[in-house]
Amino acid sequence: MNLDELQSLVDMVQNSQLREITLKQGDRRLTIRRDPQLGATQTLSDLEMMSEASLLGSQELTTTVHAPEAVSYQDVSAPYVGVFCHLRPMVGMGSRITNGQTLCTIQSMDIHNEVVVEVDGQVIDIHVEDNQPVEFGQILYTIEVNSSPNV
Amino acid sequence: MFEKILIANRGEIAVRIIRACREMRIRTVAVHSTADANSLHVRLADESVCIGSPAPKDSYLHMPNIISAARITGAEAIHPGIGFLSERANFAEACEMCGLKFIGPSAAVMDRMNNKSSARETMRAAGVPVVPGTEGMITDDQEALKFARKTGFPLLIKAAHGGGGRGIRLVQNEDELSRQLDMARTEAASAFGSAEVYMERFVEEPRHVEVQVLADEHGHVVHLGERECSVQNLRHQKLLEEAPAVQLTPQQRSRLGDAAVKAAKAIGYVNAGTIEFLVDGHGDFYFMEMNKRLQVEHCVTEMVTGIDLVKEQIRISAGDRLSFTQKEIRTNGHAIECRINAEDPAKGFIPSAGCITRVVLPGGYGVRVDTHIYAGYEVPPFYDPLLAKVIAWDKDRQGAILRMQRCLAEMEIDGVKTNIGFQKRILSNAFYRRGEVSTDFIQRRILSDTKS
Repeated sequence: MNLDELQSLVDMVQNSQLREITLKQGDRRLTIRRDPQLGATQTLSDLEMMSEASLLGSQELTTTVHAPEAVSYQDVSAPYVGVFCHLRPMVGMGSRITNGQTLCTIQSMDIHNEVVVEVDGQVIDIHVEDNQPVEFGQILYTIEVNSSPNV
Repeated sequence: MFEKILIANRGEIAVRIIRACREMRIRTVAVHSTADANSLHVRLADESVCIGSPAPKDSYLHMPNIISAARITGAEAIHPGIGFLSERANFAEACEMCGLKFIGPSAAVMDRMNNKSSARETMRAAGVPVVPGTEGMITDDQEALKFARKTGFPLLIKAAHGGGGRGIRLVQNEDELSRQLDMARTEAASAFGSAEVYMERFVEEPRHVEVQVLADEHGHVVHLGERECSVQNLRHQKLLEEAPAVQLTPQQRSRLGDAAVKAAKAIGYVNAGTIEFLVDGHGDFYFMEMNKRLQVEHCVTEMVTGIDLVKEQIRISAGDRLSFTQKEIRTNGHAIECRINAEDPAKGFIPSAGCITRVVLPGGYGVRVDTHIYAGYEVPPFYDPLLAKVIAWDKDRQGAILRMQRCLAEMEIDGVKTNIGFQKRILSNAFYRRGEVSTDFIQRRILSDTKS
């Protein structure tokens, strides 16, 4: 793979809703992962430097766009059946959240049951809309988990 | 009539209820645990809602999630099916409070009949025969001794709040009476939260015969004849049922039916219910308890009366009047039901979970199979082991037995252990074929045979 091809792959990821893409060619593997916090230019320059060096010799390459530490995601699902309600003000896309924080409520039998998150991180996706009925286990949020509390 | 009903159950009975709704042009909402996401009732319903994780207390017994599921889907009524929440008075109450029609009797009636001792008193007052026993609770040993001398041994001491065969002690003679009473009280207090006990005559080699009743909200009560349910395993779970009951004279049959109607009227019962009786060797019968819901074995009654009990339940709950009188109910022929369970008879009937790799179901004239299983279905380890009910009908008992034997010979289920072979043994047993059954039939005629 040359740099032009890599460039077009990065463009593709950036212009799409994809969070990451993994490409396998023989025994080589390339992962491009998008960080919704970062701007496009910074992403590209980081990637170029790292990729050029690694693509030549290494058998496996994982390129993380932003930071060298691993990124993990966690879904928050509905613990009750009921109607999903945002808080006022709502916890929205990109909101920073901390362990123990209430994200939303699920209204069941006229009671608003709080949904509490158990990790520190950032909301990168909301899968339901305000006042939408939800079933047990339905995914409400995707959280990008802070890998280390110090960073 | 309702437009949408939520079925708060799983397995074959949920499928059974969905089928009735569909034929009545009523939309259905299935609820399921995470373990039942691929279950047949979920596929057959118009909508489905996941209500929790596999453990029953987190899903099929989770009242807020079930009521919430009815609300978000716009269901107007909840059919509780069998088991789970079907006889919980507080669930019926919660439904009514939330503006949902509970398809079953009122919470007040359930409450009254859930206490065995007060149910017994109510029946006695209504003139329904009960097993001779003490009036109310036993408070002192002298009173117990007086009753014992009058009635004769052996006697039973029963916990007022016991049930399902638990909380019962057998007393053989006067010497052990006071000691057994003490033990029964201690046991009852720890197991049922109440030390209240009463005493009853021990009915020897009884048969379990029950009568199906239907009652509408306008005061009409009818019975649909009786069912023979004496073939039970050692945990008092029914294995094979039939309608009509064996060895009853027309007079005994009509007395049983009348007593059941009297019982239902006495408590102001509404919807489908079953009055269970013990029948002794002389054909005398005694009220045992009332099941305030549909029953697994309702199908045999349907096969001989031609009345769809689930549809009647729904019509009654919608406020309709019964569309037939007692005189119009005729029983025709004989029906037998075999419960096919995922269990291993060779290992004390322990439940057998796993993936069903292959299924061949019986069919043909006079045969009905109510089931939720299919090839590839995973039998979850969390629930009742009932896989299927095979019901064979014919114009008489002999014909029904032959037809059932033919059905079980055709039936194949691979992947889990089943009791099909055990059911075949019951049907070929000479005592069974002669209609000589009592509640200890399995112990006396089948298991003792294995040991020898």
